Amino acid sequence: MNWWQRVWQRAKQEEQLDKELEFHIEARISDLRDAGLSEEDAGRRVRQEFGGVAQVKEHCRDARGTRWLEDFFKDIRFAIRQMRRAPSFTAVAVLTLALGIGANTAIFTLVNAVLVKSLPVRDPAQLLLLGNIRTWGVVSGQTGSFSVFSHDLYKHLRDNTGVFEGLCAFQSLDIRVTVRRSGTDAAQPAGVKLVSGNYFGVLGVNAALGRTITPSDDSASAPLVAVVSFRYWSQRLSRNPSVIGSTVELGGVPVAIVGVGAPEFFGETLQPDPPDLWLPVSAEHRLNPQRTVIDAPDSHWLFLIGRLKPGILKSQAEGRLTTGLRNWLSTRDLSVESRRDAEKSYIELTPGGSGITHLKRRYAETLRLLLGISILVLLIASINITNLLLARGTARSGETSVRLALGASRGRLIRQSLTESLILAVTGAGLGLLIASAGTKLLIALVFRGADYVPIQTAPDLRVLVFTGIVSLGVALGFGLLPAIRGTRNDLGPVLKGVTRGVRGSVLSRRRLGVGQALIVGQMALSLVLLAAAGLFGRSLANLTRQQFGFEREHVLVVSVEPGLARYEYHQLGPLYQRLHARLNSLPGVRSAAFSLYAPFTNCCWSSGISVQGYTPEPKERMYAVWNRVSPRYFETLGTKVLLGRPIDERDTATARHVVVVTEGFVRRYFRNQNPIGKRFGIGEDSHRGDLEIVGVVENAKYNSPREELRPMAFLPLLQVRPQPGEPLQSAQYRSNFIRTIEVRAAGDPSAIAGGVRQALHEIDPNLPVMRINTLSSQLGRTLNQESVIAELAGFFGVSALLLACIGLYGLIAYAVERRTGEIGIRMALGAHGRSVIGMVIGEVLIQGVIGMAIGAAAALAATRLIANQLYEVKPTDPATLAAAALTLLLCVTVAGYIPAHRASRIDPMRALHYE
Amino acid sequence: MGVPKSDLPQGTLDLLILKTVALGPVHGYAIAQRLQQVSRDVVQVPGGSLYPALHRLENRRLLEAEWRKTETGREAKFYRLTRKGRAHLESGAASWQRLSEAVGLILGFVEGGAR
Repeated sequence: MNWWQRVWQRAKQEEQLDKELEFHIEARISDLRDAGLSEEDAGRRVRQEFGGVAQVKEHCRDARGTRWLEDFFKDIRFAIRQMRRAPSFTAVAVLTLALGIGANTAIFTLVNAVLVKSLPVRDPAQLLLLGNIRTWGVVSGQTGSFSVFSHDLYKHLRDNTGVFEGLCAFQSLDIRVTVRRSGTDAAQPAGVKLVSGNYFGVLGVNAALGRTITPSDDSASAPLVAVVSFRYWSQRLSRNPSVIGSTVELGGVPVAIVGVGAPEFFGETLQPDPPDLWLPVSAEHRLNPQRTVIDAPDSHWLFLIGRLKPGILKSQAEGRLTTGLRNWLSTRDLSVESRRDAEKSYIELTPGGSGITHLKRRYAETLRLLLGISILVLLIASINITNLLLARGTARSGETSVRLALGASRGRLIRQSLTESLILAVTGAGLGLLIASAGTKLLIALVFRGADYVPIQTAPDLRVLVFTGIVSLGVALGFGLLPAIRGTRNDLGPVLKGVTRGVRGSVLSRRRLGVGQALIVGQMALSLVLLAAAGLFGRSLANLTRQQFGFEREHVLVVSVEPGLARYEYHQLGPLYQRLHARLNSLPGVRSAAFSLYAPFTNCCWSSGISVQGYTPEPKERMYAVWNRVSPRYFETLGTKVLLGRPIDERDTATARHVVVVTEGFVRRYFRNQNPIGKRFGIGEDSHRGDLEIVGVVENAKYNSPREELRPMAFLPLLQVRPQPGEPLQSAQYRSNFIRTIEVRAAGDPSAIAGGVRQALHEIDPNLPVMRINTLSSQLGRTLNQESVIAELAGFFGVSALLLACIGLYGLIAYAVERRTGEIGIRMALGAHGRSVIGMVIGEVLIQGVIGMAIGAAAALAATRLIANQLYEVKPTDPATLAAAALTLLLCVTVAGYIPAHRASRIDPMRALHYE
Repeated sequence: MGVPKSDLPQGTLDLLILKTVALGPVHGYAIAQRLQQVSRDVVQVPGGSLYPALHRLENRRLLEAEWRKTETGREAKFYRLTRKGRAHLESGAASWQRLSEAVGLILGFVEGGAR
């Protein structure tokens, strides 16, 4: 029999044991009788020889070697009986645990998905990224470590280094396009990622339907094809298999759908709203003829990922890639300075199993913080359960003493008590897992607010289950061990004499409650730490939200457009902008309207080197400005104050003199508080320092992040460009005149005019792709979302901690008061007032509260230093926040103590004295 | 005077049981009887030692058991040596013999020598 069979067939085993021993005894008796003994004598003799049958059986059971397991099952049955006997205790404990474990599991699911998991591709551990992926977009003048590559450089590295089994390329930024299915009218925005022909092959991703993109698709002469994501196919194309081979229009360009990606594949980047369609890189100039970069060898815009050939070491590959890079650079037509930089350029390989991990970088700290906070809350919850178990242990001490007196071993009783804890924890964990999957959905919705879809699975995977298992085991041991050990201490005397309660001075100072008290003090301290952290995050968020941004965020609508996609040529822009300006500004309900290359918080802006007339840079000083191009009425529309001179207006046409408006910070930096109006500077080297005349100064504004340091910023009118001989119309100079956003200030609610604006744009040009319409304040809110989520969740967990601690305190005090009924009764019989009884109980509560707070304050000062770099304009040791947290805690503690205190003051002395 | 089980050297009872069972399938009571007879009443194993030992050996797969009828027609649990049990018995008996010869030599009971 296997061990599990032995356990399983326990009843049969017992029966056989009985039979075997019975046979032995009977056989012996009959032998003895044969030898001439009387029935009675034989029986006595056998009992003597054999020993106690019950004891023999016990030894035999021990010999089976499965005793521990049998006991374990017995303990489980016992524990379940005990739990049923105290349903409210069980319910409170299990629910507390379920919430605590559920929250931890939910946060860990996110941690797992964002920080730990690999891409759902073949053998992700083999994948290597070229470069450290700190820059993206379209980059020129890269030096040092290369991480974005031009199409030309990609082909050079792919074909000439010989270290890769496969090296594929993909766009470092997704593009948004409008998709129109043939036969339908409405064009829907969608995300597109351009990938090299071998992308799916190198990653090892198959098509769920049709085929993937192949190298033969990736050529300028090949017909345009696209693979749609499984999600896009399911949601937008209603899982219709006939879409394979059908044609859609992307920004007016017909593209054939050839396949649907694998269901779990979301691309190489874990991000909210992953791409809906993949197209070959060669489609770039057809999709985006105005801003095409595919044929510009010095415009770097592709990320590269690959698998090394077997036997090639990473360091070898890096060496050969760096050589390849420098060879390529040497063929380029570079300035002397750039040539020197080229000598120092190199390529490093970084792990690519998780793909591009912007999300990881961005959320790592937040997620770890949340996990830390939720573990603290679980700790506080466990302490409550410890206290409940301690109290129950005291109540059960009579029973325990009797069992000990009857010979039960202490280890056995501890094991039994721990089994009970385990059952509580496992039940809690089971329920917690259910809560967690809902919690994960909620968390994703919070953390990625505004996203339609985030490719994170909410169902727990093995790693999450293991995490939950370890947490619940840890919790069971954590809250169960102390009560188990304390509850089985062998001090039989008083218990068996029936002295289980009585007048013993302050019951709160008794040993057994002493531990409970210490735990409560610990809980208070932890709660204070969490409250203080929540307070700091709240203040930090308030500071971020209420700061001066340099624009008025209310009443402004921001519309993302892409005229580049509507096949506008550069020379058509002037008339388009005139029509836009006139039409939008005459719309009812519109105060003013403008348009620009960038609006605040829309991937702003471009920066470049400048030279300023009359300013001698310090050695090594970086002379630069951050640029935007804006239409007339732009500052008025955004609510940016003009401090000096005039804003960009209708006078600043393409043919007028070249002017610029700068920010206060720009003036402070480059003109040291002289009057800058009429002063000149230019983009690039010294020869251009007279190009632009400053006509106005506006207040500083934040365009990228609410936390950014102010940078010198300059605003150019649209269409004022410095023509350079031989410069193609696709150059960066010209590209910057294709607007991306339209800003509209409404008289009232901005969303109310959204329809009118959309209609007007449609009338101006039905092909003008409108990507998104947002209010400026919601855009800002989205930018601040991460901070909001931290503040909200920290607040939520802080309040939960406070609540748990107060419930714990309440329970302990209520229990103490009950045990002191006799004493309080005597006091009152001797003339004590109800009020003095309340004072006495509250006094003891407050002592604990104050001790807890003192420890908590010290801990908070140490702990909040860890979050210092996440705070904005509030010190981690901010005394006001700490004081507010302490006061809140004290208030709650007093309330938690008052209820039982009040009850104590109502004790009827006569009844109390009869109570003994 | 019988020797109580606790006075038997460690592991000896197991060896005695295995030896007894090696002669053919036998039930617990018969093992006790036979041990007593063969040892001329020197070894008396009480049930409290015999049965746990039997069950332990069964657990270690040195013995296997089946229920059978005795000559008197009653159901009894018969033990039989497994291959593993026989190997154990042989190595145990050999080392016991070496030990007892050695002890005998030292105490001067036997002439000659251990191999």
